[in-house]
Amino acid sequence: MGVTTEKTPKKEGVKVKLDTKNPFNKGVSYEAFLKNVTKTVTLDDLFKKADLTTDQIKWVKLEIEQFKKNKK
Amino acid sequence: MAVNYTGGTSNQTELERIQQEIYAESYTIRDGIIDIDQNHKNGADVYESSVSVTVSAATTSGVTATGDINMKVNKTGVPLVSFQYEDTFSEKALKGTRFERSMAAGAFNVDSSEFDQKVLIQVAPAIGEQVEGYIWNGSTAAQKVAIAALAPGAAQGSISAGAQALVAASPSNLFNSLTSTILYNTSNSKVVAGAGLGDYIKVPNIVAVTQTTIAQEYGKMYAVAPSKTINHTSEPPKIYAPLGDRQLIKLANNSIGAASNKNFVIEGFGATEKIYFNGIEICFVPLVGFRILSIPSYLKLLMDLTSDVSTLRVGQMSDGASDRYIKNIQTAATWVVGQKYITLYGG
Repeated sequence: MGVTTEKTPKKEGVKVKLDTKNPFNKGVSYEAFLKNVTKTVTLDDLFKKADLTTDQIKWVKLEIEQFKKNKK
Repeated sequence: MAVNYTGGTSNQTELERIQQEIYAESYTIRDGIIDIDQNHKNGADVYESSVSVTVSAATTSGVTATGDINMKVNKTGVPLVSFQYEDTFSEKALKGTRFERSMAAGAFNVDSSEFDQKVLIQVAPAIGEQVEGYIWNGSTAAQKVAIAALAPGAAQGSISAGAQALVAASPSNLFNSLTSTILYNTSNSKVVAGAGLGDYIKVPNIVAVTQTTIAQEYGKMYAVAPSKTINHTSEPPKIYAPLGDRQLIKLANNSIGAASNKNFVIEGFGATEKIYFNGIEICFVPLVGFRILSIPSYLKLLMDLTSDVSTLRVGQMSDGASDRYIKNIQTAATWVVGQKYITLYGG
C-alpha cells in the first residue's frame, strides 16, 4: 500500500489588498480613494457603501476639495 | 499799538509720553509652558526609551532568553539654527526734534538718550514677539516641500489636506515651528524611524472653529487624545491654542439664550487668568489653524540661551563713524518626543 505524503505548500508573502473604497481605512490616501470614482460610481455612492457618518462625509468632502486645490 | 511777527509758530508743549506699539508677550519662554532646554550650540542628541514586557506562566526551571522583556533606546540628532537681527543706525535725523535736547554737547554727539529709552528699547520686545511666532507657526522652505509631498488621507497615520494647506500658507522661517515638527520630523523613535510623517494623533471630522463650534471642536480633540495623556497626572497635559481662541471661548461661555452652556472654566483675571477645558489648562500661543493637546515636556524648544531672545548688542561703529550698530543673535530648534501621545487638531 502506497503512502502518499502531502507536500506543504510553499509559504509566500501574503499580500493583503488595501480596501481603498473607505477613506478612513488606514493607509488609504485621497488619491487612491478618488480612483474609485467612475462615471457610474460617485463620491456619495462610496460614502454610502463605506457607511460613513454625516460628520465624516462633511469633513472628507472638505478635505477632498482642499486636496484638489493643493494639487493645483 | 499793533504786534507784527513773522516766522511762523511752533508748539510750546508736548506730551511727555511717546505712545508705544503693543508687542505680544513671549509667554512660551517667559512662562515655560513647554520644555525649554538650553546650552546647545550646534546640535543636540535627543534620546527616547521604552520597555515592553510579555508575561508567561511561571516555571521552576532556570531563566532562559525569552525576548519577553524588550528595552529600547533611540537617539536622534537635532540640528540647531542660528539667526540674527542686525542693522546700523544714525540719530542725526532727530536733530531739531524733542530728542535733540538729550543729545550730549559737541557736534560729534547725535545720540539721544531719550530716543534710546523710549524707542530703541522696543527692539527687544519686537524681536521677542516675532520669535514667539516662529516657535508655533511656520516652516523652513525645505520642510514645506517635504510636507507638501506627503500623501494626504483621512485615516490616522496620514496628514490631512487641510494641514498641508495651513503649512503652505504659513511663513517660511529659518527654523521649524513645533506644529511643523509634529507633522514631519526625522525622529528615530517613531514607528517608522527617520524622515517622514510624525506619529501624532489627528482629529478627524473637524469643522471651522467659531464661537458656536469651539466647545464641540475642543471636545473632539479631547475625545481622540490618548487616555494615557489625559490621565498623566504627574505632568498634566495642556492644550495649546491660537490667541484668538480666548475671545471665542469667552463669547461661547457668555452666549445669550437657553442654549448657553459654560463649557470652559475661567478662573482669575488679567495676568493671572486661567482657562480650562475638561480640567485641562489652555495656553494661548500664536498658533494658526492648529491646536495641540500634549504633555508639556513632550514639546521642546532647544536653545543656546533663552536670554538671547532679549539680548541686544548696541555699540559705536568703527573708524570714527558716528553711526551705531544693533545686533541680536539666537540659536534655536523645536523638537517633539513621545509623538504618539501628542494630539494635533488640524493635523
